[in-house]
Amino acid sequence: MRAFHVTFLLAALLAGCGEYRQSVTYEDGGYQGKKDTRMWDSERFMHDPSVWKQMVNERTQHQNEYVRTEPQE
Amino acid sequence: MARMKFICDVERCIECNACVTACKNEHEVPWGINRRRVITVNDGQMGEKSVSVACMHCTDAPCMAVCPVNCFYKTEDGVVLHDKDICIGCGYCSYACPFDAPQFPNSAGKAPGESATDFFVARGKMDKCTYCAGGPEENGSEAEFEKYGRNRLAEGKLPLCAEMCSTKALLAGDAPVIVAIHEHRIEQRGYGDTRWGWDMAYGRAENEGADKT
Amino acid sequence: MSMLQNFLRLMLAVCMMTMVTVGYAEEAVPPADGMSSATPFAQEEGRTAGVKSDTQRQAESGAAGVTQSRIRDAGVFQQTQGHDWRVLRNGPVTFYGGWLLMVTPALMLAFYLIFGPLKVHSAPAGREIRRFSRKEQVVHWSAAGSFVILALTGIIILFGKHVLIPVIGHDAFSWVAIIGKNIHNIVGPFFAVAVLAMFITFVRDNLFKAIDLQWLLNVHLVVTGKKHVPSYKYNIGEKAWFWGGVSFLGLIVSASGLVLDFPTFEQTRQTMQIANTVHGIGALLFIAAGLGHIYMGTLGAEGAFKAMKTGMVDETWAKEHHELWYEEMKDKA
Ligand code: SF4
Ligand code: SF4
Repeated sequence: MRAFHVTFLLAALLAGCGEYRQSVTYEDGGYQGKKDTRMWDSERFMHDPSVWKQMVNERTQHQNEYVRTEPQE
Repeated sequence: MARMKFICDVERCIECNACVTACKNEHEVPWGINRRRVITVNDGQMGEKSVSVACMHCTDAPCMAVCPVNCFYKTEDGVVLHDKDICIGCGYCSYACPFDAPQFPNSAGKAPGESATDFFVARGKMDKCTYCAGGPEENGSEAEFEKYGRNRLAEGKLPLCAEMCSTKALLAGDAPVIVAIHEHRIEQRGYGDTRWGWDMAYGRAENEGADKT
Repeated sequence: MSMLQNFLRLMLAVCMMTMVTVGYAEEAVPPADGMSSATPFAQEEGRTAGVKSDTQRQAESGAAGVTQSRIRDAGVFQQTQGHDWRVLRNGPVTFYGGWLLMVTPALMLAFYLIFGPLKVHSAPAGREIRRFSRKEQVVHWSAAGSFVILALTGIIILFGKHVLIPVIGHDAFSWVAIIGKNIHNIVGPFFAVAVLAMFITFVRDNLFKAIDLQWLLNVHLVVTGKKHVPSYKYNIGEKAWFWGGVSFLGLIVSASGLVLDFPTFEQTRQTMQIANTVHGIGALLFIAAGLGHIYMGTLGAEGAFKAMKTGMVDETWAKEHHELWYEEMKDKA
C-alpha cells in the first residue's frame, strides 16, 4: 500500500513538470538559477536601469533616418 | 524594462551580408557558425526579398523549453541567453528553434561528404546569437568575450549587426521604439510586409506551448 | 532514406493520433508572483500587423531560399515544426512516459506481493542441464548490460531536469548529463549490434508453435501458477518479449537512435524531430517491457536468474517450466 502512495505522489509531482515558466525574474544574482549581471548594473549607468534604458533608446533612434529628414517639432 | 527584439525590413535589405560579417568579426565567432545569416527568397523571380535572420529572442522560446539541462535563461530585457558551461551539446535547441539560431560548432560549415567523417565531433557546446549581451560571466570580461563575444548592451550599445546596417533594414532595440520606426516607414512609402517571423517568435504568450497539445 | 523517412513519419502520425485520442491537457503554469505574463513582454502589434506578401507567407511556411550560410537547412527562414516537436516531447512523451515508468514497477511490486514468485513445486533433481550455450549467454549479457546503461542515461536526458536539477543544481546536473549523454552516444551503436546478434541467436527457438495458443488462452491461470501448459524452449511470454520487445522495439529504437547519434549526414531538423519522438516513445515502451522481462528473470520466477548467470538449470525446473523442451533434450542425450 505504501508503494502505491509513493508512486501516486511521484506521479502527481510529475504532472506539471514538462514545462517551466520562462520567468524573467531576477533573483539571487541570476535568472532561474543561472548567474548573470544585469546590463545596467555598473558604474557607467550608476546602477540605474532608467539611465541605461534612456541611453539605449536614444541610440535606437540613430537607426531612424526620419528624425533627420523630418525634424521633430 | 525594455523588451529587445529584431526587425528586418525586407523592403530595404539588399543582401549585402554585412550584418553577418560584422557579427562574426565583433564576436570572433568560431569557424562554421553563422549567428546571423541572410536569406533571399524567390531569388531572381518576381517578389524576391531578402531577410537577415538570427535568434529572435522568442517570448515563448522553444529552445529553452526543450533543453534537457535548462541552460537557457531570459533576461529582464527579453534577451534569451545560453550558458555554455551547463550546455551538454545535445543539439535539441537547434531542432526546436524556428530560426536555426543555435548551432553546433565544428560540424557546421563543412562541405557535404567532408562532414560525414567526424561522427562525434558535432557535439561541442552550442553557439547562438546573444543579442550582443554576452553571457553569465562578468560583463565585459575576457572570459565572457572568449565564450560569447562582446557585451555591447552592457556598454549601452545595441547589437552591431543592426547598428551598422547600411540601409537600416535591420532594426534592434526596445520593441515599441523599433516598431514605431518601422510603422512610420511603412506609412511613408505606403507598403511593406508585416514583420517577418514575429508571429512565430512573439505570437505565443510565455509557456503557451505547455498549456495544450 | 526516403523510405525510412516515410516510415518514421507514419510512426509519428500513429503516435500523435493515439495521443490526441487519449486527450491530453497539462496543468496551466501559474504566473510567477505578482507578475502577469502580459506585463513585461506586451505584444506590440502595430498598425500593419497581418499584412503579408506572398513571399513572406512562403518564407514563414518554411520554403527554402538562397543563402551564403553553409549550415544544413540554412536557406529556410523559419521552420514551424520545432514548436510541434517541443509540445509533443515536453507534453505527452514526458507525461505519459513518466507515468509509465512509475506505474510499471508499482504493478510488478503489487503482483509480487500478492502472488509471489513462480515456484518450482517438486524437489530439485540435483542434475543440471544446459539451457543457454556460452554464445547465447555472451549475446544476452551484452544486450542486457547495454540496455540498462542506455535506459538509465536516457532517463537522465528526458527526466533528469525535472528530478535532479531541483536537488543537485544546474552545474552538478550538467556534469551528470554530459557524462550520461556521452555514454549514451557511445553505448548506443553497441546495443544496435547486440540487438541484431540477439535476433540471429534466438530467433530459431522463438518461432511460434501450436502449443503457444493454449498458453495464451490460459494466460491468467499460468502467470498466477494455477495451471501449467507445457512449452518448448520458450513460452509465449518469452516469445512476445522476443518479437515485440527485442526485435520490433529494438529495431525502432536502434534505427532512430543511429539517426540521432550521427547528425553528420545532413539530416534536416524535421528528420531529427521525428527520430527523437519515435526514439523516446519506443524507448519508454521498451523500458517498461524490459522491466517486466527483468522482473520475470529475477524476482518473478525461481531459478530463472541462475539460468541467465550460469546457463544451467535444474532438471526439475526444466520439466516444470519447459516440459516439451526438457523432453527434447532428454531424447537428444
Ligand atoms: S530564435 Fe531560436 S534560439 Fe532564439 S529564442 Fe527563439 S527558439 Fe531560442
Ligand atoms: S545543445 Fe546545449 S543548449 Fe541546446 S538543448 Fe542541448 S544542452 Fe541545451
